[in-house]
Parts: sequence; C-alpha cells; structure tokens
Amino acid sequence: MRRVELEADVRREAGKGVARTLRREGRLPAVLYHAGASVLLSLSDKTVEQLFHTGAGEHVLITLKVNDGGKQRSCMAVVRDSQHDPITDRILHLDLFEISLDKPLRVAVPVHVVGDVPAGVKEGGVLHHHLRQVDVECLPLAVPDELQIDASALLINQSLHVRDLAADPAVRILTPADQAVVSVAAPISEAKLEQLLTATAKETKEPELLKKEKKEEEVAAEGAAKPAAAAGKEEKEVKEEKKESKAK
Amino acid sequence: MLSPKKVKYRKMQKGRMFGKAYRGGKLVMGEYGLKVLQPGWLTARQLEAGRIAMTRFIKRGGRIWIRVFPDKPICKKPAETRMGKGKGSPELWVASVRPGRVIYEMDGVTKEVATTACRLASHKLPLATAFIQRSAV
Repeated sequence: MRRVELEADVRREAGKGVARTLRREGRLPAVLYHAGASVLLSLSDKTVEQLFHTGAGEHVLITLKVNDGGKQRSCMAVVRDSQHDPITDRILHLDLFEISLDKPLRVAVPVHVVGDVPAGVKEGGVLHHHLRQVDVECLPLAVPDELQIDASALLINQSLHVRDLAADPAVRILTPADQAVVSVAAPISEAKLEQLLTATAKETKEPELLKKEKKEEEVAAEGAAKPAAAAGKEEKEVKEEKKESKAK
Repeated sequence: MLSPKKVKYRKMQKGRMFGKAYRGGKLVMGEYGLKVLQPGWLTARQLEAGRIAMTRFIKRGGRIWIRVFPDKPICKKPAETRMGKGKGSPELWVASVRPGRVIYEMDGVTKEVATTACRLASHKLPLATAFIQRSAV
C-alpha cells in the first residue's frame, strides 16, 4: 500500500453550507473516525486530487498531520469512503478511518489481470471480470497494492477463482475462495447475434395492471348496484306519469 | 423493446428532473461506459437503437449492459383532437435520467473498440454524453 502524507485542519462547523464554502475556498471537507468518535477536518483540495488521481487512487496509507488550533497531532489513516461529483468526478468529501499499525485491518484490494492475452480470447472467447476487488485482512503495512492473477493460460469455458490469487501468507483473503475472478466465455453464436441485432422489431403490448383483480371486483359490485338503481328510476317514471294523468 | 411487464397505474405525470444522479453514476459491471451529461428522457426505442449500434460494431467480441430501464409511460392525445376529454393513452416508455447517470457499460473489448462503440451509441441518444473508463480503486 502506497504511503502518502496529508495535512489537515480541524473544523468546528458542520453542514452543507459550510462544506460548500470550504470547497469554494479550495478546501475539501472530510471526517476522521477513530475509537467511536469523529473529528471534522478540512484538507487541501489540490493535494488530495493530485494524490488520489495518480497510481493507486484512494488505496493508500495516509500519514495525517492534524492541526487543531496550534496543537499538532499525527496519525495513520485509510480512506473508508469518498463522495464524487457525478459529472466532473471531483472529490466532494472524504471519510477517513484512523488505524493502528499493530492491529489488523480489513480493506478491499484491487485485482489485476496480468500476463499475455488469454489463450481462450485468442480463439475468439470473451474475457469476463467477475470480481475487481477482494476483501483482505492484514496488518496495515502488509496490505498489498494489488493482487495479481495470471490469466494467459485460460481457455474457453475456464475460470480462475479467489483461491488462485497469489497473496502473501500475512494477508488473509476474506472473500469466499470459490468465487470466480475471471473467466473466458465462448463467443455468442451467429444466430444469437442476429437475434440481438433484430430484437427491436417487436412492438410491446400494454403491460398488465397490478390492480386489475381489484378493478374487476369493483366492476362486479357496480354491476350489482346498477339494476337496483334502474328499478328505482322506473318507479320514479311511473309516479311522474301518474301525476301528469291526474293533472289532465 | 424494453417495457415493464406489470404496472400499478397505466398513466404517470410528467415529473421534474432536478439535480444530478448521485446514484447509478459509477461503473459496476464493465470496464467502459457511457454517461449522460444532461437531464432528459430516453425512450425505449432510443436505448434499443444505441444497444444495437454497439452490438453491431463489437459483433461477438464483448459484453454490453443497459443500466437504465424505461419504466415511465408517456401519454399522447391522437392527432386533430380538441383539448379536454381527459388524458391521452400511453404511447411510449421512457427512462428519466439526470446528469451523471451511466446508460451503457461494456467489457471484454479494447479501449479503442469501446470508444467507437460508445460514440455510435451516443448518436442514437438525444442527450449529451461522455465516455468513461474505470479508474484505480
């Protein structure tokens, strides 16, 4: 795990207004969790972007120098969560998690496929990535940058699993060992491709209504009520006719 | 074409599309994807046209996912009809998307192939889009 250094200032105010003001000033709002408590921080926006948009991304071990109104404190932390802008991908907020170097840590480590193009892909197969990161538990300084898997010998309809990952003995993989990491699938048939390319021609019918049964019941109830109403109308008409005849 | 099998109500109000898509904005399955940069409606026909354009280009080479589903019915009145007399009948299905939403994902192809396939698909959509690629964790 790559090690980086970051300087942070403790902030007292919280909320979206404060966070927006900080972002306008080139600061990044963050929070540091430790021992069941949390401290609100602000970091340098540019430094964080530079650190996280190179190499290992957010998969880094941070030496955090916290400045609390003149008091300096240093601690080790990892990124637990991050919020990004959906369009610009700019980091909006960071969740940092304070760690101890002598206690095991659970983190997600990226899995990279290495080696030549898989033999199955050369034959026309398609490489499927089922798992792009695995959960591991180890001491912070033993966390690997990435786990590698060599898929060059993979033939069509073959797969590599979590148990095939080459990990250091100090690293305990928590993801189930029988979970597939990569596989090479057979290419789709010509008939299937033809079907995929012509599926648009079908016009869809109007979907079924979930409340249809209820409606039918209502209609039946209305149907029962109608004859009674009709009988009432007939009686009224007869009365009106009688009135007219009396008047004459 | 994509459309729901069962619905609770036949007709729906227009609705509004405020803000950005804070969900569904990251690549989940594939290595590459196409993201919208504007709010709007994507009809089932447009989504299908985009998918077919991508499939026609990559042929049997990769895998494609559609990350949105057109579950919103749009009603229209028949031509030359006077106003009133109630809402029109459902005519098409759309997916209401906000900026940042991933529409298609692709895997099992090279970056060059994915870029071209996404460009072809983007021509079938009525909104501005951007090609995206999975970055480091």
